[in-house]
Amino acid sequence: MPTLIRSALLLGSFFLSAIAAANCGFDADSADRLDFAEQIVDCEAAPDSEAPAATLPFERLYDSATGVAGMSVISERRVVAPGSLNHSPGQRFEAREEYSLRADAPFEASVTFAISRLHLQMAHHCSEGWQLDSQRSQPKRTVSDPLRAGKYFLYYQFTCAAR
Amino acid sequence: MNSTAKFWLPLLAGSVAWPALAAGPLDGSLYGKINVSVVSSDEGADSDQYQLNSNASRLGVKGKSQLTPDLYAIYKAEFEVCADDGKCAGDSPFKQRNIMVGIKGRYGMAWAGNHDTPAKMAQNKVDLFNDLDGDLKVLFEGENRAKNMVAYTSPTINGFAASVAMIPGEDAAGGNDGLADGISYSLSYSNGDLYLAVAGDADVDNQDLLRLVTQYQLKALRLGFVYQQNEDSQDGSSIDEDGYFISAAYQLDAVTLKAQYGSVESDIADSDKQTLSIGADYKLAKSTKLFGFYTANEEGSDDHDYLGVGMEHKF
Repeated sequence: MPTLIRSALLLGSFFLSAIAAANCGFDADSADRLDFAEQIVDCEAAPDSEAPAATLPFERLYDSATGVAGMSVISERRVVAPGSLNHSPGQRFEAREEYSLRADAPFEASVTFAISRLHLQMAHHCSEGWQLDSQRSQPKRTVSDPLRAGKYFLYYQFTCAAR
Repeated sequence: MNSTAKFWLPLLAGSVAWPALAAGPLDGSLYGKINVSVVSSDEGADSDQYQLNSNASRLGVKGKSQLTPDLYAIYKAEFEVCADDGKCAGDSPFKQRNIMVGIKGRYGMAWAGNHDTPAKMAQNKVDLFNDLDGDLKVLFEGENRAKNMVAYTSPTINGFAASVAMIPGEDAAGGNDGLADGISYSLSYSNGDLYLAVAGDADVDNQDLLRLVTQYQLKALRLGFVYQQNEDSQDGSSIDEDGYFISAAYQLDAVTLKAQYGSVESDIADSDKQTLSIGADYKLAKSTKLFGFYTANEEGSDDHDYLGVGMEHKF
């Protein structure tokens, strides 16, 4: 293969890869952490589970490295009023919230509460409305037996509405 | 270009290029950051100068392949790129950083490579001036990236996780022919805003050490503390050190104010060390920040001062 074509292909694939990386909250410093492997597993989408819409770039609203996203952050976050600057038409986001299906789980950990918190996030980032592109649940991987633990993450991918 | 870079760079490029050409989905992604700073440094008589530094700028590829529903192959290959003078290792603009491959399942991950030791990674992000002139490594031993490392990392169970790494000496002539001539380990606990870790090395880079780490997030304030004891493990030598390191960061919207101080006492005369850094980050976007810092390092009677401003962009 001529060198020029090979170089162009490499350069193009680097850009494609950069887009793929931008889809994920994993960054250069995450690679130096003790839990870097869990982040790689959480961050890289499973190849056979990607819907076509999921290949579009989006901004992740949670940090799997620190577990910062979720109840504590959202409960302190102000919901932005319509007309404020927190709305970018066509901008895509992915938010997630943790919930539990255990019988002894408190109401605050219920899926109903998780959905409510996700809607708070959507209202925060798309104050003039949004479209829900997809949703999925994944077992929380940071416990030894996710199925028995009954804890899950609920993911919402959404797009801010056109003005 | 050195032989390591010659070997890995085609693989690095290939691992990114082929998935893009294949019909299937991309199994991996490129990541990295460029961090540069302009620094006025004073490292003693007639050494005052301005310099442009590339602070561990890097380019990496990482990814996973799902082998079974509960089993993944994981890889990461990362190289330092020297954005200042292009000379990372000799005349090469690239230098090997963390490179590993492993199998991860419900019972943890077995992995191997050339990688930061568990003891080094256990410091988490207590070091607020990491990769700059006030880096933790100017104070403490144990900031090692070990070659030939074979490791196991447990799953996280109720916030607890453990890692242990064995490092063969690969020096039969010198008597270091075992699988675990050096050992590095960590036991960490993470629960919301609290992070605790105990870590240590045995015969790694000729050091035996014990490290205790605490980090706590109190709303906008993040506090960190490290205590470490270490001694030289070479025959006939007993150089002992012990010291502590504290850090604090306070976030005010896009600005993060930072300070850290550390002190190490050595039983060798004129070898005590201290480091003090203060600075601020200004976040332009999630991936981009500007920063400024002042660092004063002291070892024995040597004083080094640094004043710098810089920029970091992650991708």
